[in-house]
Amino acid sequence: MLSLLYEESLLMGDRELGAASLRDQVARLFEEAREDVYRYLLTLGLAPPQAQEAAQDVFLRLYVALKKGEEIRNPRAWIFRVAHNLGLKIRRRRDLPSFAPGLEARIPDPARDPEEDLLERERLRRIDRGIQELSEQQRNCLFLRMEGLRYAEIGAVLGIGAPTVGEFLRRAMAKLKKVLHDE
Amino acid sequence: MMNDEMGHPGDEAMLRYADGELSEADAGRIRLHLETCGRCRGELEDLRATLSACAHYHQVETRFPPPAPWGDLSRQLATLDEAPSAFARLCQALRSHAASSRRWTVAALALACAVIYWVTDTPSARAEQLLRKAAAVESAKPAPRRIQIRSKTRTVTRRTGALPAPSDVSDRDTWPSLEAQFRAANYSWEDPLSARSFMEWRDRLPEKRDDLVTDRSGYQVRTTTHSSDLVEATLKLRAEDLRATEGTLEFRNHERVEISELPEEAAPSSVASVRPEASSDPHPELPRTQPGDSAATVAATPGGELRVFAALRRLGADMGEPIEVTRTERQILVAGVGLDPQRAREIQDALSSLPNVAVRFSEPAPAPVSPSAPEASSPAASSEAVRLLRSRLEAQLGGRGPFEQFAEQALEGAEALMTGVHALRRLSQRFAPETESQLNAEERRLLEKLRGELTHLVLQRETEIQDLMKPVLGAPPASRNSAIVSKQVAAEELFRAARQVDRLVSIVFGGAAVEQAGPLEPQLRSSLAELRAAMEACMR
Repeated sequence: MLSLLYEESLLMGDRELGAASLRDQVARLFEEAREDVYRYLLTLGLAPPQAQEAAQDVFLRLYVALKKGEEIRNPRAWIFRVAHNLGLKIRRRRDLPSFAPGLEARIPDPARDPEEDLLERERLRRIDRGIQELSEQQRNCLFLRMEGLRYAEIGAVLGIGAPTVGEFLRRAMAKLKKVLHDE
Repeated sequence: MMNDEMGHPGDEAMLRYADGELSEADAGRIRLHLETCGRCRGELEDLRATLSACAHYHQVETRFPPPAPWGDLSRQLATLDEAPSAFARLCQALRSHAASSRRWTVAALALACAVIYWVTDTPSARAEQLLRKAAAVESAKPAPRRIQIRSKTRTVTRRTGALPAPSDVSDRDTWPSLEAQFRAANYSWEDPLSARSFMEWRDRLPEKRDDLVTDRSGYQVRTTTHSSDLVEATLKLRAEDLRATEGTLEFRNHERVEISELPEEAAPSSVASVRPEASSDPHPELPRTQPGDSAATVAATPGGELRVFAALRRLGADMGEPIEVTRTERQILVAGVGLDPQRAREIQDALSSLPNVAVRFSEPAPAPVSPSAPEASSPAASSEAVRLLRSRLEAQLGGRGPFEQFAEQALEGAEALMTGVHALRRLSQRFAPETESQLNAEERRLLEKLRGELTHLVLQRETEIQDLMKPVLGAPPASRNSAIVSKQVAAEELFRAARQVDRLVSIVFGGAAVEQAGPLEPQLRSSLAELRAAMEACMR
């Protein structure tokens, strides 16, 4: 089955399509993209339960939009744009601090040899430091790129042009390259 | 696109190239440039390494699975449709705001949607879902392990999980008073640190309250009750696999018990796993042997070894790195010498989930001090041949500078070719027909895939060196059509041909000692032709 996410345009408000078919399509998109959206929401600083809830909301909103006859040109960019706005609003509305426990809590495999963990920690700590020093836009560009979005899509999500995305990513990479190589 | 007078692409162009964001024409120009510019190739590699470090960080950063199973969206959408008032409210909220702003009001929408979640979003429902999921994982992958049970006065350590070894049985009776308390409370004494045991106790409670705490390391379920001798129990489930790692039990008589998982002293017999043997000391050599004396140990199979090769392939660690893989009856030993700690770490990570694999990193032995005079003699005639060819090439390429640059590329190209050929040959040697016949169908497909990938990489490198040489040496003469049948023979033949090319390139461009007399140019040309033929045979 072809992925709907990569369709150039979705126009599901079509009366002929019928509610059941519309539901199926949204449910399919949900299955395809929910984990990506959830991860992106985590990177915006939402805690896992909020991120999961918000990710589901995104698809409910997609359904409502399509049912109203809205034409969605790039579903992937649309979904991430809504997730991005929703994530920021949730954080603002609930006045939540960014959910970012210490790096220690994020290091995988607590059962691993502690000495071994040191190396892993050091590397992650460096890149973590670099990422903390990025501007919010640079960070968002980077994480959206990690979810496989093209520059133009990232631009559509963040409301900036694709060339600006390229420039943000370039600066982000320069910074990260530096922290990784700093002794 | 090309940013400076030397024609090197700028940082952004390089990033766009790495990200596949350039037009075909621009990407083509960069590709062309990369073929001849070592500096830019280095930068591209550097950039890719940074991107991959970011990807790893991103993976760590977002490795926390959703706390609850995903809801059935179709049903939720149907519910929305069937409850026109909810849907109308939703649309109403959207419309009223659309007038003033094209953006939706998230709050109103979330409020409407919350109706749907009320039913499924209570801590109890989530705790229950989580426990069921964790219990299902436990039964799918039973993992014997060592746990520690502590109270204020005593601590015992024992093995739980799958069938305990007979030697463990005596341990189990070492705390009769506590065991009796567990039994009275209907809590499993045999396997107290598991989602299943927690769930079985919890399910029998007529009255209970649940809390669920989620953080990035995982989930903690806490259940309190008045209807059991065990009045409160908590269980920590690790985020990545929902494995129960810690628990506390509080009894009515105020006895508090803590249970935690201990690191394995020896890998359990049925799930022998990687024991990373490096430590923070960059390259310690730890002579620890892989546990594997138990009769129940799963033998190290060719399939297991193949998966090690596949993991190394994914990291590109099967090419040009000082890593040896050896398989004995019981284990697959991956030994690396003189690797940098970060690389060692990556390799360990990649192998950590494979059974019966031991990883060992060590420092290289100090190089023997030898007053090494070149072994091969350098007959004057051959040295003369080198000089002649060099001066011809210098003249053709336009001087000493261009020649040096060309020489560097030729040496790099030959080296890259050799690392690829070595990797392909090693795979062929390790999986000779008699070994291959022990693989199952899936493993054979994996072997084919690996072989295909390596062959493709070697082909790229072979093409690069042929393309480099063609303008100065002319097209290689047509070579005989090789009648090679087996893949092993083809890989051997390719190795022989590549080594010959490498040797001649080293002589002509790297000042290596000349082992034999004779005009070099025809030799180089015919060795390239043989390389081409061997390459084609490999791809058949």
